[in-house]
Amino acid sequence: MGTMALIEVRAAGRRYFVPQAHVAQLELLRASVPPSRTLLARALGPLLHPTADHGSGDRQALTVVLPDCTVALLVERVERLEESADLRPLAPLIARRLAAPWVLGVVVAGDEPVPVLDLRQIAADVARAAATQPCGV
Amino acid sequence: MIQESSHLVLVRPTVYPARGGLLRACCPLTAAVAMINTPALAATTGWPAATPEFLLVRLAGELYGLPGSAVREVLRWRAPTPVPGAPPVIPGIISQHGVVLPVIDLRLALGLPATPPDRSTRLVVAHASEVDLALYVDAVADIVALDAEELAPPPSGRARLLGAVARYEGAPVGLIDLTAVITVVQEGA
Repeated sequence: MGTMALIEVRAAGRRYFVPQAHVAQLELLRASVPPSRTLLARALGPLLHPTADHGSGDRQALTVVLPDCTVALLVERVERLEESADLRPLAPLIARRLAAPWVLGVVVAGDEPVPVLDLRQIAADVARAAATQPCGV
Repeated sequence: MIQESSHLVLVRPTVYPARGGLLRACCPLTAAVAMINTPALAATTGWPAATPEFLLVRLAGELYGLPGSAVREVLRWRAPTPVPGAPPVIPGIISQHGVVLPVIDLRLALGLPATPPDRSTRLVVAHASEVDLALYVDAVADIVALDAEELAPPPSGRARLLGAVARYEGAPVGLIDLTAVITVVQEGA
């Protein structure tokens, strides 16, 4: 699948990579985000693992710009930038069974496979789910 | 037959000595199980009396056999990396020798209760139907060769994922059809 620049983040207590190209801005989380029709903020951890226990440890926001809305996906922290990571495809056995197409592939970091998230797709799905209500926290 | 090291247990991939002699590596075992689904069929096909070997694993207290020709390695338990949105039967992925493998919880695939991992828990790396995967099992028990004439059709309730049933030291053993497992996991049936 080739190489790409990836940002390593921690959400729901786990490691993930996201494509740098999907992120318009990295921000420290403010104490409160005022509701807005153009900014939608969601914690990434509960989106990825709805049944897991989630604390309120989100400290940073990854901003994804969509045509009609900007989505801020909140993560516990941003770890580092990997400028040229070798992206591998997810095995078809598992790729076909995902509830949503939110995983682009896998990067093996050390000996650990780390999922690479399709942040644009996640943001688009968040925006779609919120389409009937005003954007906001 | 099973080699233990500090971090993994190895099973040789193709031909290895066993109680009844050498494993016959001429046929994929999943196909072999299908062929010898009944003793009568085994007799008509002339399948050799010293039949393929199986890796015996324990799932929810029951013994099951995995086709020996499909087994590549047996690993000590390590927690797989969960993939968002994957069903419980696929608890995650692991990297082994640089290859990313999906982990299949065989207990859930067979509709058996699952318990948390402990010191006996193993991951069995296997290859079947052009798919590499790691199978989550409660324990690995033995490698055995089974006679074709001792195999019987599986009970109707669990026939979908079993190629046959046999007995090992008096206990029933369900012989798992890995091709069927992969199909069921892929289709989410």
